[in-house]
Amino acid sequence: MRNQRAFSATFRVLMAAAFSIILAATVLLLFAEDFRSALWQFFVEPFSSRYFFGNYIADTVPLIISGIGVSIAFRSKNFNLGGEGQIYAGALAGGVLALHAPEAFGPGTVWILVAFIGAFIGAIIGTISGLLKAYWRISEMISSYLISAIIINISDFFITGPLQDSTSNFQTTAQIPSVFLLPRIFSPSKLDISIWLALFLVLFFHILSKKSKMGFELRVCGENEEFARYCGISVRAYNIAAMAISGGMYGLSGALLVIGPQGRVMRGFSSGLGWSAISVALLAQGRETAILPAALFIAFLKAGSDHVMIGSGVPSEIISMLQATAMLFITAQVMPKLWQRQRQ
Amino acid sequence: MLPMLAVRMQGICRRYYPRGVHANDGASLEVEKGSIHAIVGENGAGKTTLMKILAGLDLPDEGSIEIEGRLVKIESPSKAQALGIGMVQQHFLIFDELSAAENIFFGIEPIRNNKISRLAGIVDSQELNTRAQQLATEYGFAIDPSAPAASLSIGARQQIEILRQLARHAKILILDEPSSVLTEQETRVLFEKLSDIRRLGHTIILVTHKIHEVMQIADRVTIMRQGRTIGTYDISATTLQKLTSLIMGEGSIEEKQEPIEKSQIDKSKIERSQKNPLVLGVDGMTVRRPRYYGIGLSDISFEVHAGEILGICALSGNGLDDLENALAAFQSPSFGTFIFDGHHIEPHNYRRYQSLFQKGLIAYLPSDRIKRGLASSLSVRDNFIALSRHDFFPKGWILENAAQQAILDAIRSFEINALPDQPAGELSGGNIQKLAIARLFSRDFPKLFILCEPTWSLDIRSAEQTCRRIRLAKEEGTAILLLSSNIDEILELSDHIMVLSRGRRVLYQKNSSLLNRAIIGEYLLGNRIHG
Repeated sequence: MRNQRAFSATFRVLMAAAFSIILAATVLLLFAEDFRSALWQFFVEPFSSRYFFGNYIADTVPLIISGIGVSIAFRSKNFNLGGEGQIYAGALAGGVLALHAPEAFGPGTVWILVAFIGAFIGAIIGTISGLLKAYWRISEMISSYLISAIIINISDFFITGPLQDSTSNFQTTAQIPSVFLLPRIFSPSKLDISIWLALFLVLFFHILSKKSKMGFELRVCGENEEFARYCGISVRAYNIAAMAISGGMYGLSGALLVIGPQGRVMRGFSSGLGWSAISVALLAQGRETAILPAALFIAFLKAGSDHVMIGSGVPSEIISMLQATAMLFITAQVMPKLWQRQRQ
Repeated sequence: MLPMLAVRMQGICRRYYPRGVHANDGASLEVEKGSIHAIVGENGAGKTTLMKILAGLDLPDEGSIEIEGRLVKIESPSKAQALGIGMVQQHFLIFDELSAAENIFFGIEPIRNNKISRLAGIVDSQELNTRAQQLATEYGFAIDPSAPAASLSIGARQQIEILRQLARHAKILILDEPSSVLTEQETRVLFEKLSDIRRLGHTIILVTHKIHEVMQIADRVTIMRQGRTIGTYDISATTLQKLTSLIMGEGSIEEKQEPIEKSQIDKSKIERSQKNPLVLGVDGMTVRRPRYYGIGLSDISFEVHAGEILGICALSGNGLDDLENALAAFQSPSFGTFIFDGHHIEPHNYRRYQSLFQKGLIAYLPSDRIKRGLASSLSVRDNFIALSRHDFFPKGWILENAAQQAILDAIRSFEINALPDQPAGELSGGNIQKLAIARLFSRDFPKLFILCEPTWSLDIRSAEQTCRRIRLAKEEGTAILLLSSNIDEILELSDHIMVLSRGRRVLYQKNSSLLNRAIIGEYLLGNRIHG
């Protein structure tokens, strides 16, 4: 009976995915100049060369890392909507460190420091929302979103002000020294070694959630707060921890982007990533292992539509609408289930 | 000639899914026109459900309703209103921002008499106040129509609710537990008004569990138990004792109860053997609550010693839930001292009391199994190990085999009909209860057990088994607080008995042959007080 239910949940998600793909095809039919080549660009091109495929996989890395953080927070019924700002702040902190680190440190140390500082900054920002919720019952959704809006503006100020690269025409910081960039593993694409970290984190959080006391207590908190109190679990501590973890993962993925594919902190480079990570977590329905296929699917939607946009002249607004509608399908399938669970 | 019936409900069934609980199971009701008709019964007898069905707030699965001899279907509150039925619910629905008059005429406000105003729905506030004044005078209520509702007392708020129904031409007025939030004086005023309203030709249905009020005001009374109607009686032809025993479901009504002499019950005579050390002493515990949310507790004191069971009994809304929350470290009392095993605990260091649960010195079975005792989509095994998880995650990582073995043992010895991997929310009420009991009784006995409604929803055999386990814990020297609304359980298990009514201790004494269901019932209903 239990398997049957898990199957039907998976089936619904697959249905949603199929729907969004059918929708994509229909829209392409309406707007593309050449429907057949647009179809090819959407479905096949992302896989057609080492370069495209590598870039597609590289795009999944931040989705996996941020998505796993959001997913862990979901487990305890905490919704971190501040991903946009947390990614940005983590990226900026990591970027500044990489720009100013002395060469003597060696690349390995710098990578670890950058990853650490990015995660740390993200976690601090997440923790603020966690504290606000734990001590003043301020909704973590609203506080994380608003704090993120502030952080984005502050970061913009630094990038376009004190940290602006005066030799560049873009609003960006200076280029990070190439020794400090993560080595690429699938040339000529931008895919770098951070994919290994992403896979490790999925495994790590999967084991943490299934086997550890902390994961167990986190699940109990998310399931029923009053029951958690009855068992003597500090709901407050887990509210804070969940927000810190998801904030930390967001910050980490931002920092890795900067020393990876991006190579510098451009204004607004992470725009939309925070929301995509939430989609990934929603799609995975709180199962850590499902984060991988979910991230692959969301990144595929983006990669496919980017190819169509460039190749077939479909306006980017149409593409954005397409992505939004696909997300609507998926959330419409997933949210009722989450609500049902909450009601019980 | 038979008197005209205002309401006739027959064979009403209402089942609540998904658990399939029968709130009403073939209930019937006949109310004579122009009478005050009381409906009494224990908690969960189905009184409120029956009235919600009559007022169109809930739909029956089966059954027929006749209003003044005409067969009707009441599928919505507005249909009920059209039929002249109005209900004042237990929790008032008052807009604090509006005036008294605006609250009374909410939704049926008089509109100014010109074209534009009719179109835009502009309220004629002068006319509104005049009408409210007229209505109040007609029924003898003293209410200032322009007073902001926020400034009104509870009694006045209730009068607004009543006037709201009368303004909608309700001929049949239903009041659900109207006196539960009122003081004695306010209750007296309410009853005077209700008599006046009846004299003007209205029919009043009064839902309550306070029998002495029924004797005071009602003409007839219908008794409900477990969703069914037990019978309807003329007040003039019945007695308080007879009603009490009917409500409590005691078989022998004829058995005459010897009145107890005061000297026979003397609280100072609570005898104890000197050997048993004090485990928990509670002194002057008071829980204050905003008046809307119940009455709280005032000045409750008791002691429970090792190897002793203190049974605490109350009807719902009389403070048992506040007592449970305070004793189970969920809500600090406003005042009062706990002494646990020599530690003094006051409201300011209540956290220390909470830590006693973590150390396993106190174990607690909550009365609300679903909300407080279950993570419904986690597995039966996870639910089982949650309380003693420190044993199953010794270094922070789970011992899968030990956990699996423990739940299999528990399923066998507590006869739980469940699989370890099944989501716990799929279990029936009785099995959820067994799981909760297994969780507590599979561990070493604590110094103090706080057990709330331990046999709730258990079949007879499992209930007996649970009682045996409780007695075993007692013999092992555990002090036990037994909070229950089940009088039989309290009488059977307890060494001492405490009864709460309206948040006060009305009885505290040694359990003896002098106590029986009927006597406890009278204390529960607040007919007797012997603090």
